[in-house]
This record gives sequence, C-alpha cells and structure tokens, in this order.
Amino acid sequence: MKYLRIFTISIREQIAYLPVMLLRNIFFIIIFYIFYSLWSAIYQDRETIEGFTIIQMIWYLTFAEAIELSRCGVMNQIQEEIKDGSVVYGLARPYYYVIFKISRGMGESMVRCLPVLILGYAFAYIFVGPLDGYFTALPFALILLIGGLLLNVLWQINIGLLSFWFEEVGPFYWILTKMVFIMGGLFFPIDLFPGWLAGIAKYLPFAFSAYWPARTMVQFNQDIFLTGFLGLIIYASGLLLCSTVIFEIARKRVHVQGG
Amino acid sequence: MIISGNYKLLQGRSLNTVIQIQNLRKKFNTKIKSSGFAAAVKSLFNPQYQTTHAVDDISFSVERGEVLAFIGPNGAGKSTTIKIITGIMYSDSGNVKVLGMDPHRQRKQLAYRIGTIFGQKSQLWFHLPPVDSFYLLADIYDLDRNRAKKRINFLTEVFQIGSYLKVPVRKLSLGERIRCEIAASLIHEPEILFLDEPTIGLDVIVKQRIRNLIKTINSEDKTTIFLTSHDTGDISSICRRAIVINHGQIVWDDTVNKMKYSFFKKKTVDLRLQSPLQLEMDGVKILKTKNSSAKLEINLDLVDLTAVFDRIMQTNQIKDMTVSNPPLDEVISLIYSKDKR
Repeated sequence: MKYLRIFTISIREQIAYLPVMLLRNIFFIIIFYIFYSLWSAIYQDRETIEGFTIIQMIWYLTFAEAIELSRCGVMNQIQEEIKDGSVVYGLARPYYYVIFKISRGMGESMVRCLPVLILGYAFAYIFVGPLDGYFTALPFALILLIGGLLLNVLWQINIGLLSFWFEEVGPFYWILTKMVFIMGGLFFPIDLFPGWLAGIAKYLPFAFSAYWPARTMVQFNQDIFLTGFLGLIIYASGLLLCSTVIFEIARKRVHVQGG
Repeated sequence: MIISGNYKLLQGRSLNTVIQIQNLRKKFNTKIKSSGFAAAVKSLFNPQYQTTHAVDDISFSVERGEVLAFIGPNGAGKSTTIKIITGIMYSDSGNVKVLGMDPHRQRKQLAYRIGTIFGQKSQLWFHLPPVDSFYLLADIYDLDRNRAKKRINFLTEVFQIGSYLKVPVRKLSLGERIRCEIAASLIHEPEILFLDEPTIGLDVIVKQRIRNLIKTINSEDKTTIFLTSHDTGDISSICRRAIVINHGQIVWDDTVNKMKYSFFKKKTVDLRLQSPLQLEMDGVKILKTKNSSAKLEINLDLVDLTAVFDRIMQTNQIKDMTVSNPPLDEVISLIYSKDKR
C-alpha cells in the first residue's frame, strides 16, 4: 500500500512539471519529422523492408521513442542522495529503499510517457495514416511498454547505487542509453541488422526496452508478445535482484563506515 | 573526563529510560592520500589508513519525556552517535538500547517509534502541498486512514499550519516549511524525536516559534526530544539537560543551568554610580568606564561580590546595577577549549 501511495504521489508531483514536459515534446516532433523524412526516402522504391511497411516503421518509432523519452530522473536522485549523505536517513524509515525508488521512478516515467504516446499517435496518424490492428495490439504493447519503463528504472537504480563506489556514474548510464539506441532497436527494428547480429541483439536486455514493445505494437501476435513478456520478466527480475544485492552491500558499508 | 555527571540523581525522580548507552565505541579507518604521483601509485598497492575514534567509550541514558541537548563541535562524534542510536550504523562495541530495542538488529521496528529531522534535508515533496506528504508518511508508517486524519488535524491545529496545508511546498517560506517538516516527523506519534539543527537559517521570530512548538509537543505528546544544535538559543530555551561531546567522549552531562553557574567563575557587573569609579582590588577587572558608569569583571574564585560592592560603597553610591552570567555560547566554547588535546 505504501509503495502504491509513493507511486501515485510521484505521478502527482510530475504533473506539476507538465508544462515543461509538453515543451520538451517539441523536440520529439522535430526528431520524429526527421525520421519520417528519412524513412520516406528509403521506402520510395519499395513496399516493405524486412517485413515492415512504412506505416509500421513510423508507428514502431513512435512507440519505441515513447519509452526512451519517458526516462525518469531516479539515477540522478540516488547519486545526489549518496553524495550528500542523505541516503542514510532513508534507512531510519520503515520502507525498503530500492522499492521506494522503483515506485517513484515508475510514477515519474508514466506521467512523462502519456503525452509522448498521444503526440506520437497524432503524428503517425496524420503523416502515414492509421495502423491496422492498433487497438487490438495496444493493451499488450502497453504491458511491454510499462515493462520497458520498469527496466529503465531498474537500470537507473543499479547504476545510481554505484555512486557508493564511483564519484560520477553518468558515463555508465550514457553507455547504457547508447546500447539501447544501437542494439535495442530504438531507431529501427533489430530485424534490419544482419541475421547473426539480429539473433543476438533480440535477446539482449536492451531490446526489451524498445524493440519488443514497439514490435508488439506494429506486428502483434501472441508469440511476439510472449517472447517480449518472458524476456521482460527475466531481465526485470535479474536487475531487481542485482539492485538489491548492490544496495545490501552498500548498506553494510554504510553501517560500518558511516554515511 | 566527564566534568559533571549523574544527571538522574540530580533530577531526583525515576522515569522510564528510553535510551540506554553503555561504553559505546566506534572507529573509522580513513585512507590516507599522499601527494605526488609516486605516492599515489604506491598507495594503490600498499594503502595506508588512519584510524579515527569517532565515539570513544561513551555512556549515558535518556528518560522518557526529557528534552536533551546533545552538542559538540564539528567532528566531535554527534552524528555518529545519533546514527548508531537510530540503527543507521553499527557500533564496534558497547550496548545500545532504544525503547528496549537493539537499533542494530531491530532497525525497522524502531523506525516506527522514532522520528527524525536532519537539518535542511526535506521529507516533503517539493511540488505538492504538505498535506500530501503527511498522508504519504501516514501510509509509510502504516497508520489507518482515520487515525492519520485525526493526527493530521491535531498537528495542523498545534502547529497552526492550516492556512498553507494545501499550498505547494515550493511556495512556502523557510519557517513555514520547517513547521511542516516537524509536523511531518510527528505523524506517527514517535516516542523519541531526533532533531538536528531544526532552526538553522531561520530568523529570530521564527526560531522562537519553532522552539515553542518543540516545547509544546514535548508537553502535549510527552515526546522525548533529542536535540542537536549549534545554536545556544535552542539549547537554553528548550533543553533542561545538555550532553557535550568532544573528541568522541562526553565532557559534560548535566543541567543547562548548572552549566552556566558552575562552569564560569566570572560575573560581569554593569554599574551606574554617583561619581566616577575609583577601584583597585584583586579579582576585579575594570572592563570599561565612562563618566560615572563602569563595567567590571569579577572573578568569584578570588573575591566575593558583596566585598566588591562594600568597597565601592565606601567611597561612592550605587544608583543602578546589573549582574550578568556569561552567554551560553561562551560557556560552551570554554568547555570545548578546556577539552582540547
């Protein structure tokens, strides 16, 4: 119950930033238009590329970008709390720090995601027209999208907790985001890679933050959804376990050596 | 060496002990970094450590309902002690019992029964009104809705925060925010409240208001107050007892009043006389004279106050006089400096 309240209060706090977020989405429209122009040129003399039509490709991008542009700031919060020592004061309260941060991060991400999704829908609808089976696929794709947001929050928590040992953890996160850009299928579906690379990239954790949710949206079938869902469960559990272990090691260090 | 002690005997009454600390010790090993490239490379393979005894064999107890000042210069061991008491940090040796619990092993259970305010570290959500944070804290401490509502109403009344309970925290003044911070830390009716610098950065009027509120919650809720502050105004107006810690050891444990009276053997006397002062006497130092006014410092170890006044009145007439104790911060500075190693 307490974590649900943290989640909802985080949503409410983010709504205070809504005007800023909407302004930020101007950037989304610009990059989206660039991608639209690029793919229009590529699709000029062909109907499909690796099974994707231009309509599917543009809708794919709106969905994958929605996850990427909904990143919360939980890593920076953790880094700051560790640097200024305030992380130790959370230990004097009856909640588990990692779950608290997940709840908060998910609240933030969900609020950021909604306007991007709406904007993406409007943009794709206007520029390439409706996507067949959109409303059938949407509930399933949303599950994977929320999962993608969760993976991002968990990555951020893991990297943020490394601040106990490293002065600056931003570079780790920078590498992660670039891996999602390149290997996660953020800019184009992984299917466009050479066969051997696509075979590997599809099952790396980065793909579950972009490729699988977006592909479920545009080429929905049960197998695609279940593969995405299973991978999500495995990687989310792994990252959760990892963050718990890192936090426990760090907590022992705090207990012994101070804040 | 403890300068004064056995406060419980002085109080002459028996109350429940809420904090019991015996022979507490905590040391830290800090890596030494020498200058120069060669030293940096050497330290990679053969790191050198320096041991600091942050808390060095301290013992004290706190009774239910007490208002205690726990003070000391920076780096004296205050924060370490508080972190050990609240279960955030382990001790190397010694016994710690807080509300009958071992903070190290029962940190979560203890968290439900203590409240903390650490300096300017906010527990309120910046863009939301305080009432939202209050209800969140009520959930964190597993209070049911009715109890939470009653408690929030009570605190709203006591702290007089009703007019800005629904205003986003970012729009509150510092004084208003601190009132809400203290109210927030009391949502779950903690038995002990740890306050670290609660009035830092506030103007004198707001400081006084916060001090009154702390006194109110101590008397209304019977909450034990464990106050850390560098502001002697907080200590003299809120606390009856003070523990002074320096270099990890307790150097004073007694009442705040006794701290003033027994420690300083000097009094300052302002006089307004019939004619200019003519006085030479052992133990009396004339600090300032102007026309028929004078300011003296009298060392009570060397001379009695009455003897000084008798001598003055032999040749003069006292029209007005003020005898003052030294300010508390001077007393505390003296305690710190006496303990310098």
